[in-house]
Amino acid sequence: MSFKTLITKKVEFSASHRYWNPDWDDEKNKEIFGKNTSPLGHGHNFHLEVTVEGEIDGHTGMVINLFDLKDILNDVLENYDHKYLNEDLEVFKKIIPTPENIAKQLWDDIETELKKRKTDCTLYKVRLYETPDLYVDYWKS
Amino acid sequence: MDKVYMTKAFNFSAGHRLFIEGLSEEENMALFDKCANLRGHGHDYRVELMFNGEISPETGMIISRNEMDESVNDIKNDFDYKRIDLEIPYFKKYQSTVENITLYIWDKVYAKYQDRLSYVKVWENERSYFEYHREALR
Repeated sequence: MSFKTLITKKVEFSASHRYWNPDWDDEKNKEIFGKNTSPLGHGHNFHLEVTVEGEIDGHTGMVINLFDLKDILNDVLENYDHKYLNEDLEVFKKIIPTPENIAKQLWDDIETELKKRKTDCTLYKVRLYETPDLYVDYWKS
Repeated sequence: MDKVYMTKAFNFSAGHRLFIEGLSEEENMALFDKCANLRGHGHDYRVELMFNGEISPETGMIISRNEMDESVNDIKNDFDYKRIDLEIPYFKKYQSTVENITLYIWDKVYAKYQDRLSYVKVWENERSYFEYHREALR
């Protein structure tokens, strides 16, 4: 039997996006994406839940210092908050900033920061709420 | 390719009564407590449908929002503002408990998506829910 200790931090950011595949004409984009393709973009208050896994440190009693995790997330989200994702982030010039792709990109960005800061924990899951009624879970296995 | 999960949540409001035909009112009350109230009662249910898939390079999505909305509307057409145990034939055979409602919704959505459906959760109120899934989830 293996045990896991997980800790989750919630944060928010606001951003706009547009679903648009440049290989298709207007009509096809509208057919597949509906109102999500409206030409000037639309926005959401995204809620992000980030779960990390690690051992409880014998001295601190913590898996990760939540202030450190908050710093990491603030640094990562600075690129996303109050941005038009399609145009302000290089990566979303190549892939459509759907919540699926945003969650995947957030995973990569957060994992890079976690490693850079040599924390002893690993990323376990990201859950990205586009609205309270639509969310994406992503993890690399 | 990594697996990605997308969950769509929505609400419906419906009435029901738990009872076994042939039992007396007292016996039904003993089994089901106030859920057996003769005239029925209702809830605001909340449903979560979780799908899995790979991100399509063309659309950036794991599931078509239009198809997902159709499934939501399908379920709402069945349940919203209905008396579940009297108006949906399935629940003449099975108790309209949150467990059976969850399984009914699972079967209906599974028929369309098969293994792309990961999980169904139904809240009967904000304090109780039932969930059904076939794979271990994080």
